[in-house]
Amino acid sequence: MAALEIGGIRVARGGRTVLDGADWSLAPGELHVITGATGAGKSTLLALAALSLAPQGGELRLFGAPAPAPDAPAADVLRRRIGAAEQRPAFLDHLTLEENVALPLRLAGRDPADRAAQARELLDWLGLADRAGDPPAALSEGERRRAALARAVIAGPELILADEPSEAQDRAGVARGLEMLAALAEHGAAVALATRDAELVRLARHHVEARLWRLEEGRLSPGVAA
Amino acid sequence: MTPPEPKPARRRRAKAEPAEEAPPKPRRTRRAKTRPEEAAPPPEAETKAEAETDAPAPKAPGGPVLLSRAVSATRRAIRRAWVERRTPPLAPRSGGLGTTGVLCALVAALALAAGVAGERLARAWTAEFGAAATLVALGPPEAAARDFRAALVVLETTPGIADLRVLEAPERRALLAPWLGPNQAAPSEPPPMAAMRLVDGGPDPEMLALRLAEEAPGAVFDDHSGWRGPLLSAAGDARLIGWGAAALAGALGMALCARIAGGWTARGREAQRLLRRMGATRARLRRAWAGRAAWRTFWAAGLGAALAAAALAAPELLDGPAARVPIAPSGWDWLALAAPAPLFALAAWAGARLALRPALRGDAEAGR
Repeated sequence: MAALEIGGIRVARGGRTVLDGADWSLAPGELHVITGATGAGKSTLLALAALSLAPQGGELRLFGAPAPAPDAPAADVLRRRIGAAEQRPAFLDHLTLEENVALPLRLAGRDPADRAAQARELLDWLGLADRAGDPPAALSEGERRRAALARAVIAGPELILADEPSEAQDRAGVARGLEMLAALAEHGAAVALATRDAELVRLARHHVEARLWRLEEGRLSPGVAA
Repeated sequence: MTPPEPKPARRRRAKAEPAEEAPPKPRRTRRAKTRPEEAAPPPEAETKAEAETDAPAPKAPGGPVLLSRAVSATRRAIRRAWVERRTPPLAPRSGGLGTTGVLCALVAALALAAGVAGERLARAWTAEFGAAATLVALGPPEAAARDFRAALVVLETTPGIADLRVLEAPERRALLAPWLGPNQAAPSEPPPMAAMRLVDGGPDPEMLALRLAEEAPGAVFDDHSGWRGPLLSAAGDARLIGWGAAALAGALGMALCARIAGGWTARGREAQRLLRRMGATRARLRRAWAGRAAWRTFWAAGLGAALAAAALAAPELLDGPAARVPIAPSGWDWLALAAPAPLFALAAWAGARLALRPALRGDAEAGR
């Protein structure tokens, strides 16, 4: 059973058709990298999968069942099985970075000590240990993206979505993030990345088991976008 | 739905080229420990953790089941509060809500005290002066005494008069003293007087005047109607002004609390969307914003009411003229000062709930 299946999905935004009959299937244990030019619809595709957006046509299935509407109460429950790192990550400014990263665990009702330990471990691995007590506003763009990635994976979601995770990152940071996502995929998570970063594509192609897709003219096809 | 089979990218094990240490072993949640196939969806099959935190309340059938569910819900709420006690709230500080609650409650409680005092004053005046009448016999002492006795007989047999009581000499002197002023002593034997209470609207004034003129011409019956009317009218005005001020202060306080709570909640829309994207339920967001707004306002308004009570009580502890502050409540009336706290909290809750609607509906998300 695929974690995510879309068939003939159509989405129009701002009067423009962004996705036009796209088909895609992502199974547990797989790491997919979606490439495409700016405005190709990568973020829209991930927003659909994260139940942040409703399609205008086609079929969207999550974990083997038709996906509920984004405003349906069932979507609240389903979202806890999904970890999404957005292109422009938002944080709760009154909480520290560690508390922000641990938010999914908090929503799942985990013990404060447990979630703090887990957040510290992840932040340490992503090179943000010394920023754990800082407010999100004090972080650089690259640090914010790494923190968003940590927050997306901390609760062990079954489906992980990362939108341009390598933006504003140095090479080592890109590799480290990709390695973590690949490890999570090996542990059974379904992982999808959207990027137009050549370095991330190169690493995905040569160093981890990943399937590469290109999104052009609203449709997905195997390969890498030019 | 048959997605095209992509050509897999060249697969290699991670060479650990950039990072030397292994990534942290992912800790799966209790639900995630199962394979996705096994875990297959039904959203209603929530984990225990969800049930303890964000699960939407199931429809309760009633009876003993309802009671047991209420007990379980209370236990869950206590446990949740216990677990969350060491963590900062999901909603940021509600700037201005506390100060507004204190100040509005202070003003409203003082206005309420004025309303209670006006009501008490009006009731006292109505009871003390509205039904009181006096009899006095004027003239030479012997004639006055004779007329007084005759008048008493008339009054005892007149319907509408109760509690007829002859006043002793000291009482009569005390009554005369304010009229004579401080420089003139009251006569040692003031004219005979009697006090009484009018019931059922009192006697017919014309009939009584005729009987007294015939049987006791030196006796004067006074039901104080000359100044009782304006006094009762003033008491009514005092009551109206007091309650009007209290209602106005209360309404303004509620509107302010609702407005500030709504503004604060609306400013947190980005945070609410973020939490929803992470799976926070509507109930969780309501608790985080509307619940926090209500709770904070409740305590702030309680503090404001306590300050007002202290300000009203302080003069009563003193000696002298300040001890007779007419606005200070008495007895159970003190409890009325606590009324603004729940009312303002309710208004703040309603304001926050209203402002939370766009984030709860999710229409902004869907149309984003």
